[in-house]
Amino acid sequence: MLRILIKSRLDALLYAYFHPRNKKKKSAYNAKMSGTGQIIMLCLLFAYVFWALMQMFYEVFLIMCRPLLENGMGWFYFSFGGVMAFGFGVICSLLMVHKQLYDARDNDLLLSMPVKPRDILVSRLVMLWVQTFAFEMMILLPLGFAYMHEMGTTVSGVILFIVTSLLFPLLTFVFTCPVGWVLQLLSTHAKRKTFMTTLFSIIFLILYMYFIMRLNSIVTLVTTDSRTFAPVFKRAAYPLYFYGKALAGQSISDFLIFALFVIVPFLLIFLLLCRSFIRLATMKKTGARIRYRQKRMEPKQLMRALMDRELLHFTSSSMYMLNGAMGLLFLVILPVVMIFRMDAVKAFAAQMPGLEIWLLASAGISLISAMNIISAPSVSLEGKNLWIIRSMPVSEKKILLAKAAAHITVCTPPVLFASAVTAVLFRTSFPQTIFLILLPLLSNVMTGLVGVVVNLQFPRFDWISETAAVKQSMSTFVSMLVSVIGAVLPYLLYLFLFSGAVEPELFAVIVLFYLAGLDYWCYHYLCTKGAAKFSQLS
Amino acid sequence: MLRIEHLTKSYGDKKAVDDLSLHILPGELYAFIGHNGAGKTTTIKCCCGILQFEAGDIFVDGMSVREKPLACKQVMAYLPDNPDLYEFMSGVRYLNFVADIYQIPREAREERIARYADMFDITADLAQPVGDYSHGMKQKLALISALIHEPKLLIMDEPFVGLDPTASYQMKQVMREMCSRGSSIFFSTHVLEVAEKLCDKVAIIKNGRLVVSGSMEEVKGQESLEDVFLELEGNHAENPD
Repeated sequence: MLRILIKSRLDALLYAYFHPRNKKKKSAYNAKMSGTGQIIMLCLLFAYVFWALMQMFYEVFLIMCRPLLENGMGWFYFSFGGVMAFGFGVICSLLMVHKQLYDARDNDLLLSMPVKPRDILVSRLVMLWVQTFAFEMMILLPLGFAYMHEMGTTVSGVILFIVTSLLFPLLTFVFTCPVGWVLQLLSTHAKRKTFMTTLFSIIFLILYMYFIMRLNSIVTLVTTDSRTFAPVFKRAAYPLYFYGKALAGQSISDFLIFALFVIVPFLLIFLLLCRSFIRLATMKKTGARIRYRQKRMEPKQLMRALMDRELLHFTSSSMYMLNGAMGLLFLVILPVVMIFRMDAVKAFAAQMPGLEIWLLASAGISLISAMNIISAPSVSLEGKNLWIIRSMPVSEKKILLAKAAAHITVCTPPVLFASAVTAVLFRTSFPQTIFLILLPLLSNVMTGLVGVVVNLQFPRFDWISETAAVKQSMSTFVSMLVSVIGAVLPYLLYLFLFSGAVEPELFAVIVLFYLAGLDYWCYHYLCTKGAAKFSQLS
Repeated sequence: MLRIEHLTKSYGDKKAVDDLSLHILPGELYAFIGHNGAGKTTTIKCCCGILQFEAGDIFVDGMSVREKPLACKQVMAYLPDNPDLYEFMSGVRYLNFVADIYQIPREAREERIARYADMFDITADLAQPVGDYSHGMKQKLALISALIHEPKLLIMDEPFVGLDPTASYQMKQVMREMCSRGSSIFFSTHVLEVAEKLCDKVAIIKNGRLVVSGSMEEVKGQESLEDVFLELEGNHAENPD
């Protein structure tokens, strides 16, 4: 039974990432080819992301490795890497643990079958182990490779490294399983859940970005002052002290202590989960009941009603807001940071003498604005509800334009804010200020329209969770890529090819026409072919 | 009110609906029955403009669904078998959204929402998110949203599934009232007793083709509708061609 459950979870995992879309609309051959193409593309993308992250961490560990080993602090090198892997594993797997252990949609179905709750739990944990292991290896592998590069290695060292790495996700579970349970309690009882989730995620993200940006200086500080930090690490992350000692000294006794520190708490948590799994999995969501009071119901215009529908969908989901509009956060934060770090901005601008600073700012704002993908999953998000809008007396053109309009409405204020702050900071002339406002605005309009255009090419209605439509869809990926290229390409061409030949203001006028042309093309497409395509969707 | 002429709709090589013709007059309550996969839902979705079709035409209140889809949708309403509604909206917000789309004036929407919500006993739950509703409550909400613009033609797919006995009774009352005012109702069902007691006319579809249609008396004669239906299904088993 356990094998069947594990296989079904594995199938679900592979399906989520590699299931080819729109299979039934194409011939069998085309579907197979496009499916294979998508899988190859996704594999290449994953490989690139893994490689890029591992390369970054490898450089970091190379800085640390030799000085620490020369100081006889080999254990601290591995402990520090272990703490990073643990933190990375927690970040990447916490929501997965919550979703897959406590909030899985098939819990009721499986519990109604003659399956032991323990088997359900083990099958889930095995899949979580696989995913957490993959995330943590992005740090642990560079940690090991950097050590090998500096010190060489032995067979026993490699075996010890592999065994400790296999145990590592269990250490993460000791933290994430109880925290996931707390999240489940909060999500079943909390008021303003969307707001709270979004707020905490943003705070978490800012802290994470702060850490990543300061990673080099933290590593340098920890390496140069390792005698001060090592005891702190030893006290705060005691199991990882033995992890470090085991790997640095290739000590079996330290490995056994580390293994005990990992396995015993994990088993305790596992037993606790086994005992309470049915209660946790069937916990009824009892959010505060809202009392209905009849109010005046003001009618809205058709377009307004359609746009409000899109906005309500967007603001009701923290996942949609966080993934679809992360650029907005940067559009608000970066201008404020610029106020305090003008010297750094000017130094950065000096590296690109071909672009005047107001053009550079315009390119930057357009680039960040292009990272917002609110409209990119909006067609797919109709999902099972597509029948509602399709059975109503609304033209397809209006439905699609409302989706783009919602994107533009949400993104315009932060874009204007960023442009206005930049204009004030750099004391741009009147024409430059107009360009600084208009160019990012037109680029923002393009992003909104492109999102809908692209989503019409890659609609996906077979999702179970909206996360699949927003985060794991071809539409959002392609849409962001097209928008970023569309927004930044003219500036790059100007910087590398035409900066000496064309006056900046004339270039701005050309970009203005280019963006207006793109916007019009997208608008025209949505009104004609796009509307026809939408009417074919079912 | 609804005229289906030689409707043909295929999925790939399979004909889901094959040369189907039906005529539903104003004030008629018309049942549409058939086995699972017979083509009922496909026919209904074609009538509502949700699915496009290859051949034939459908006329609502004299207007072609192909040529004037928006005008047709303006005078009809559709209730699906599985009411997947916007879970991110509250019940009242959803009803208001539907009212906005049909441009219903304030007083009328307030009166109708209050009346139907009371009738189906969901007034207290209107402020709750639709995601928190049970299947039956969603079905009631979808029904209210279908009635809110007082359609001339109401098309429903298995409307009684998930409704409690009281709501089911209220729904039959509403259906009768609508027809007495001159509106038409065309609905699919597997509950043959309901169809037999409630409807003026009935059509039976099998493998995408209309097998029989007409007034209830003509179709069932001295037998029950269930007997007629099973007899037709039995013939199918004996003569697959």
